[in-house]
Amino acid sequence: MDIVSDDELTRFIRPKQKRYVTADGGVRTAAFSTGSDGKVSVFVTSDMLLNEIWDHGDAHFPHETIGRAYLQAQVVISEGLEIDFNNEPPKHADIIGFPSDKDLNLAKRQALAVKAKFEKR
Amino acid sequence: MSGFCVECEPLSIGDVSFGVTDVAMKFLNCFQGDVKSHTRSVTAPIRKIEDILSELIEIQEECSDDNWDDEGAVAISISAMFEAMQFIRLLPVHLKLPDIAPSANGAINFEWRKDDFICNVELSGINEIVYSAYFSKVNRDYGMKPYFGKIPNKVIELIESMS
Repeated sequence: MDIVSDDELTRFIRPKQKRYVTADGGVRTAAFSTGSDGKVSVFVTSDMLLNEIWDHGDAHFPHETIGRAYLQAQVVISEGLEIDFNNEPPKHADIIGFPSDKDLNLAKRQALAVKAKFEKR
Repeated sequence: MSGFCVECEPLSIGDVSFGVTDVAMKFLNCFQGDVKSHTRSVTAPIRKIEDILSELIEIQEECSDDNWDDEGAVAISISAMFEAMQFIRLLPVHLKLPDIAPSANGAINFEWRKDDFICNVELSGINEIVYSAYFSKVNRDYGMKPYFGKIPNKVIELIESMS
């Protein structure tokens, strides 16, 4: 499956990640921080109804999803990052290609957070 | 780990045996005098420094193991927590206090926002400060500097722009 620019990407937010959301419903830069594998895990949720999205989150994080950060694939692409759609689990993709330079890496993550929106469950 | 509070009894490796919270509280107690001078008006809806320091302890405890987010996150080290505490203490009083969050790369992430502008600082406990400010898609400012107990002027300027 090819990801197109207007595809919607969802990053499920769980209790351990509660600080990834601002008090007024924004998404913090930390929400897009990369772990040891250098990837940010997302799901492609284009054309899904909201209840379907929550069900999908429940399938992978049972009883854990407290909300979601979502953004258009275009935001990721315009930052020079890539979306690796692997469909494992279904609809799963990784945002990859983050620079190794720590400051530029932070700038890229920040740009994703600026454009992302939060939806509380 | 470098020394963090020259006025206080230095922490030793042995302190770790009392647990993170004990060590952190010892460090926190070093700030009591400073906390008063940094505390904003009680009428202002701004968190106090002591609240942030407590939250830093909480974050370190919650994220002290690798994979704390079940997605491969790097653990938040005690050094990162101490460095973050020192950073908060060193922030000039006229600056807005940041929101804080653990970063999956093992850093403590500080965040300031003003409208659509955003400024982040990350500290990982390795004597370097990583910063980035986003004003628009084509107007950004980011960099990395050594950090040894003095906040670089550039970082102060960027945080000031969020006030």
